[in-house]
Amino acid sequence: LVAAAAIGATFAVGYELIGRLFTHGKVPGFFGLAGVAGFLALVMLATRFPRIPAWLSWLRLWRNTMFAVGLAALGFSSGTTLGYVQNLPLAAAAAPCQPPTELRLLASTEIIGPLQDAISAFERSEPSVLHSSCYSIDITVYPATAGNDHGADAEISAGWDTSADGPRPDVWIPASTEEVDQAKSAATRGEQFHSLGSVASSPLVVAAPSDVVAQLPATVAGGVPLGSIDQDAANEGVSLVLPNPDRSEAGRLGLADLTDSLASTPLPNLGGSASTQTDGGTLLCQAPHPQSSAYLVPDADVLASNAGQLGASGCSQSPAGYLTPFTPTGASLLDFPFTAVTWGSAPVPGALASDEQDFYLWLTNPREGGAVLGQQNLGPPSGGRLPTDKEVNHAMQSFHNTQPHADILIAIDDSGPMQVEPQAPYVNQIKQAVDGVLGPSGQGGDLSSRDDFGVWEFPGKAGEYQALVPLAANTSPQRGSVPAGLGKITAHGHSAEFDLVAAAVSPPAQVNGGTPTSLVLLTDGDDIPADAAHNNIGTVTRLLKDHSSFRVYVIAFGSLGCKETPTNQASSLNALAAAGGGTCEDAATGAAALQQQLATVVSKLSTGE
Amino acid sequence: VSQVRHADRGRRATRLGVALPAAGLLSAGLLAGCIAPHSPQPDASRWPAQQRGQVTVTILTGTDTSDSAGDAPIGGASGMYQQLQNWWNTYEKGTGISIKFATVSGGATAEHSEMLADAEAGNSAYDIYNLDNEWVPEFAAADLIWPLQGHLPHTDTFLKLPLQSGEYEGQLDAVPFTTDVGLLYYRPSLISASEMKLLNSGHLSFPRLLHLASQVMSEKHVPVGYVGQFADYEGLTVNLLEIAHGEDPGMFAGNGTIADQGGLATALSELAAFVTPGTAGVLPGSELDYEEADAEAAFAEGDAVFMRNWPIYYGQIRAATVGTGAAAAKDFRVMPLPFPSVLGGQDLAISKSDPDPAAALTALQYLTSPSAEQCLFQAGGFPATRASAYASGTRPGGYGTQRQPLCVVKSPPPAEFGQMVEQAIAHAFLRPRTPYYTEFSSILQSEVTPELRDPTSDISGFVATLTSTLNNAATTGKAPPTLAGGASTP
Repeated sequence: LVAAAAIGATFAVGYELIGRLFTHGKVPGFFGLAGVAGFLALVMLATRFPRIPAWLSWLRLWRNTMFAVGLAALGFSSGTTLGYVQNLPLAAAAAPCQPPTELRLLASTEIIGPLQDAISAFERSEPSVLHSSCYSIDITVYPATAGNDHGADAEISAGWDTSADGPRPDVWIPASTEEVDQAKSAATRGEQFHSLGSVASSPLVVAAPSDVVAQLPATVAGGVPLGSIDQDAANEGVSLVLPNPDRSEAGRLGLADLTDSLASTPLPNLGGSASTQTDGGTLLCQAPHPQSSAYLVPDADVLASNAGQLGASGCSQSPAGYLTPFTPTGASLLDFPFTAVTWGSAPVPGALASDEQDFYLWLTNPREGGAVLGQQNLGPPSGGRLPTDKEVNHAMQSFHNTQPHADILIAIDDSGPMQVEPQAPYVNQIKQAVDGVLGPSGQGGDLSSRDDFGVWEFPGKAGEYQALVPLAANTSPQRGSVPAGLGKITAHGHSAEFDLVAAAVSPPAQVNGGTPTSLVLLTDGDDIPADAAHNNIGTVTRLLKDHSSFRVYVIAFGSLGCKETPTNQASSLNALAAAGGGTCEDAATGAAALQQQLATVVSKLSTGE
Repeated sequence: VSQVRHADRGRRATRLGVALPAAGLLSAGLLAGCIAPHSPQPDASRWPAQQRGQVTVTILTGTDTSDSAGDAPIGGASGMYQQLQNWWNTYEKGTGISIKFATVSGGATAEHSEMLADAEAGNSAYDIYNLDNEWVPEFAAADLIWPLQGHLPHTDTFLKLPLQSGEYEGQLDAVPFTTDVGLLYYRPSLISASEMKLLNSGHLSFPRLLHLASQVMSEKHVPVGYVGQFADYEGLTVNLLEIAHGEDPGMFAGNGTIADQGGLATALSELAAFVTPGTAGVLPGSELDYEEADAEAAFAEGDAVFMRNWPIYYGQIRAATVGTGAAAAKDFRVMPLPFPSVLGGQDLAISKSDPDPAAALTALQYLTSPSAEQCLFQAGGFPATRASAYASGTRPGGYGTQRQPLCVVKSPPPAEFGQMVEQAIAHAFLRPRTPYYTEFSSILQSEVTPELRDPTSDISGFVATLTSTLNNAATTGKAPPTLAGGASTP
């Protein structure tokens, strides 16, 4: 009984004291152990003194002492062990993982869908690949803002603006090495690019719907240069459409191939190639004019469309139906280089560099990442043919010379009701939206450097309008002047939309910046039939008919929206837009939605849709 | 880096372990030593000395989605963040500190990626991170932010739960800047008095709410019963946790693990049972692609009886004046969700790489001051983290010795709206407090989405595996061999 009690007592002390202390580390554990051992030693020494209680006298025999020490050791060891294990915090018991290294990955829209699948597979196989039971790398992959790959190229060269472009990438996988070369030569803030190599490939092909295939006998024969296909198509009334070269690398390379192949022909037969499609998949999903178009896109997109796997582009299969791919001789190949980006002089942390390397090796392993990308119709890593920077720039210049440019005037109604609307002052929303599209960090609108824009307010302080930002080319200084211009707006008076339209169509000589070709009116209209300069809906409608190329779009505010109209007259805002070949839309609610709405209207004007 | 904190505790225990045996109080002292490290203590970490000269405190944040910047006194601001920045830079020049908001666009995943990568790299370009509150444990455990315990006076003036959202393991690591809580939007013209009484009973589970929606749909010929956020993103986690928490308030343990999988199993079964293919129904399959704005659009179009969404949409729906939105603006009300909501919102934390955290703390105190909170709520539309911001009849004042108000609010939200938001916050709950929340949520989304899309799936068998996987992720961040979060995209 005594032995059992002794074991129980020492077990309890071991469990509650020593075991718990060891959960906090070896040092406190050993201190506790030493303390208890010391206490016991004192007890043992005490038994050697002559006057001790009778019930402890049996310890005077060494045999009994050793027995007691044995029992105590048994109790302490078992109690300590159990106390340590059971009281260990759960996370500590499982050996906590370090937080994973965050890897920001900017990818071309041409590869982002397959890459997402590959990253999911990588994260699933991380423990075996990296020989760790923890998440070591967290990869966040994202495309360029609004799918504008070429815009992202420019942003990388300019140092990257997180407010407009999202996270600053550690790794960049553009569609081709040509983009990296352009970024290297344009880098302004010490950005450095280190390409580890291609991760996949996809050649550019001409994809023809079944109705069109029969019209292109020379193409069907195969082994034909792109220029001959273009000529063949033009002769049959078929356009060769490619993704917008101002936004898409596939479009730029395709254009360079075509221009190179058409050395003696100045104007390629490009159909609606300046429209807003940002990559091959999106182009195939929209498939403009399928009866009379063939599409110059990456091979992977054609295979994906025919297999019903175009999901990442917004449709499962092109509405043009089955597409027959033809590979022109000498066509470019998207090579998707894995490019580590260093921003400025700061060295890349070692863990990050190591993780980048690990991911690249996995991605290019044909049995691992390569297999996942292959299932998404991408070819193995390759360094195929690419045009030079000079060839691409020459092609883009030729292309721009064939494109009409837009001179867009944004006119903001700053009449009193636009400011005093109690729930949401429209003028404030408009300032945000205009700055969001045309300001220094503006997005959307598809304006090229050949396009001009200006911003007016109406009524102006001294007349029917005031130029806040004079009409000028879409350059950084022009965009930089937008916030200051918008800051001048003060609400007063009544809307003078008729005088404004008349002035926009034929600006007086004192207005610098030239004559706009299109107008976006942001107004709540007015119930007054004629403005100060005696313009009314009748005179302005006639004026617009005389200037039939002048476009007018209206975004209408207020409770009536596009239905606002002068007393006893037809809907003037709808009529204005109709006379100008555009549309009137009720304003979207909220600055963000309004910005998107304005960007869409500007895009229609800049791309000539 | 979480080991750093454990080591601190070890040192405290060591000191106790030496002192107490010497005092002859071995047993009691050592037992006390076991308990003491878990008690919240003022953090004695030393901050670098305050710098002299002009200092710019840069705050990295997501896009400012406020309704408005208010009006005077400082013009030209496009949102409430910028208004607060402009006010300070105009009236507090004398402090030698200026404030600058830097934004990262692309949504929550992009923000998290940028902030985490920046913090891990030891970048000193940003002094303060405006963290979604579920990220605070991750940044705190990894020692990427300065502990604020003991550095901020009068924290008791914050609402209790928003303040807790900035704490990790009993220490204050971030200060609540804005908060958020799910609300139930409904159209009163569709709801009868008896149905309203049922709604106001305050104890309506998710399936009972959807049964009520079904009843109204058939009576009033509305195509959809309930719109929430069920797309494969953080919104799905939030909506699912709310349903599960309504079934079992004790489902989470303190370390972020699921202590009782019953609530999760019930929630998933209920949700899956209501999802019907197509675009119409109590909870149509098309909703599996809905995020906040999609839900708002459907509700504003008059297509749904109920909507679960955040308070920021109150102002937006209310402001609609044209088209079908104008009709919705006149015919909608909000109330707290009949089951507890997840507490959203953002907390300000000082980067460990900030060379002058004292200056950052000055900015942080201003941005979370009572006047700033009033501006954020009354003009910006963000639920505030202080009760004083909801008080009716008061308007934002100045800060410090400056009387010039931080913003001017011409059209504040109705007083009853503020009271209702405050009431909903009081009944909300925090997402699992684990440093590995990102992995937890990512796994939940990637595993649940296919189950919801497949009407033949066996939820009961799935939940046991899912719970085990989630608990593993919540405690260690470990990647399971067969289940894993997919690639993150904004």
